[in-house]
Amino acid sequence: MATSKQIKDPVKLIPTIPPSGEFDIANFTFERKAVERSILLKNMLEDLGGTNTEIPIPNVKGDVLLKVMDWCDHHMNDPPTTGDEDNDSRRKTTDIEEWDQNFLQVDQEMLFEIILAANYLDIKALLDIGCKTVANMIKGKSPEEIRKTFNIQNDFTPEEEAQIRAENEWAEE
Amino acid sequence: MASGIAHRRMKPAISKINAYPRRYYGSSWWDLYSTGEVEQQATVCRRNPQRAAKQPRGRNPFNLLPTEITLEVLFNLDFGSLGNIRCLNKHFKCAVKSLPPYRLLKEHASHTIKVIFEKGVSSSVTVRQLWTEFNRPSCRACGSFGPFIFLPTVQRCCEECLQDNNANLQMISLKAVSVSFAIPTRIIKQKLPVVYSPAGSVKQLEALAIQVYGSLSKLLEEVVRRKRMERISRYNHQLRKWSRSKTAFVRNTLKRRPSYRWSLVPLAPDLNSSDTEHWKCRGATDLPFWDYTIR
Repeated sequence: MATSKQIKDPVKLIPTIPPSGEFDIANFTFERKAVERSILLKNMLEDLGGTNTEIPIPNVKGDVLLKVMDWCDHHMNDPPTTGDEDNDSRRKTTDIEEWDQNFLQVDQEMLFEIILAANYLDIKALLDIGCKTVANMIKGKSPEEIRKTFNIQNDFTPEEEAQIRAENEWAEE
Repeated sequence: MASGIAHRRMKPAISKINAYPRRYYGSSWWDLYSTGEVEQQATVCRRNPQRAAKQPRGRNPFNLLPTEITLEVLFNLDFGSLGNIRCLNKHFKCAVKSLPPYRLLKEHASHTIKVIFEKGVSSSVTVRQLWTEFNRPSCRACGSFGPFIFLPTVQRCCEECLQDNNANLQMISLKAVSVSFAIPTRIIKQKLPVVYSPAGSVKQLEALAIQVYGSLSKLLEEVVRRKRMERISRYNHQLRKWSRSKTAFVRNTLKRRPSYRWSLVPLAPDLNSSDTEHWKCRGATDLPFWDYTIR
């Protein structure tokens, strides 16, 4: 976690929804470079100038914020991706890095909250790997298995479902 | 609705941060959604609200996500899974239908998608891969215009590169793999896309073979052994065929006048020759090009 290291250029993030358990604001001090992985916060820091380094974060739970900043800390020094090259490199990285895979081995609720937080904080790379992880959870499963995994309600009548399946089979002809 | 980047570009970050009313701050998002206090954002279309309301709503995590992120997840899926997703419920059926790349691909490259399903690679080609190739005109190997798509690696290619001896764009029949690369069929089916019967590109197979056998020298040893066995069995087969035709000939001559067709004894194979068998195949189909800059 960020506190164990010496932080050169600290930025304090104050989650409006505090984490469960003991709440220590010292845990929420991060390296500026790590915070700047989030485009939203990067723009905010620019807007605020160098003086104010305390940012309130609504919408993101404290637990989730800590997890997301963990990721940002690890990927602090990644080169920024741009436009067309981005397109090409993304195409090759259908598999997820091992560190990221371990990082995203959390329960479903946490995974989806991380994706939401990444979307809100505008962290493109994290959003990408999050979506890929969910996609990997879907791949190779039958409709029933997917419904069970994600607790999805079936609102088709049996006839409708049969018809949609028939359409699918037509696609496979 | 907390829509992502486009919304943020229009509004500076500082105003965005205060965009949410204070009453949401106290409790978690999750509780708000499950009690229905916040309107379900992910609903694309709900034709029958009464029935949806009657069912007990479990914690379907997709209800948490805005539609754009659900679509991003679908974008990473392969064509086979997308078909399964359509069967889940009305929401997902609409989501798949409204996924823009899928819609455009279906409209303009329906032939390609059909081939993908026919050749059994629907579970290894993702919408994202095909969409990327759909949007670029040039062959990945040489850079000139490429009207084809190479299925195992999903890359655009041109006629010249396909005819060249480019190991990245060649395929090999499953039977030949077990001889020439000494990999059991079971492992190939697990690790590489199998297009109908032929397996992944030659380059992919080389890498896999070296991985399976540990080193190149061990691999070559095994390959030589298998090639020898294959040649011997082929020779035995020819020999059996020859002797069968021979007995048939004798039987026929007893009945009718002899015909003077003699088949030759097959030559013994050269067990140490290193000739390349004709095992290379092509695995490409055509894919139209979508120029999004002018459409």
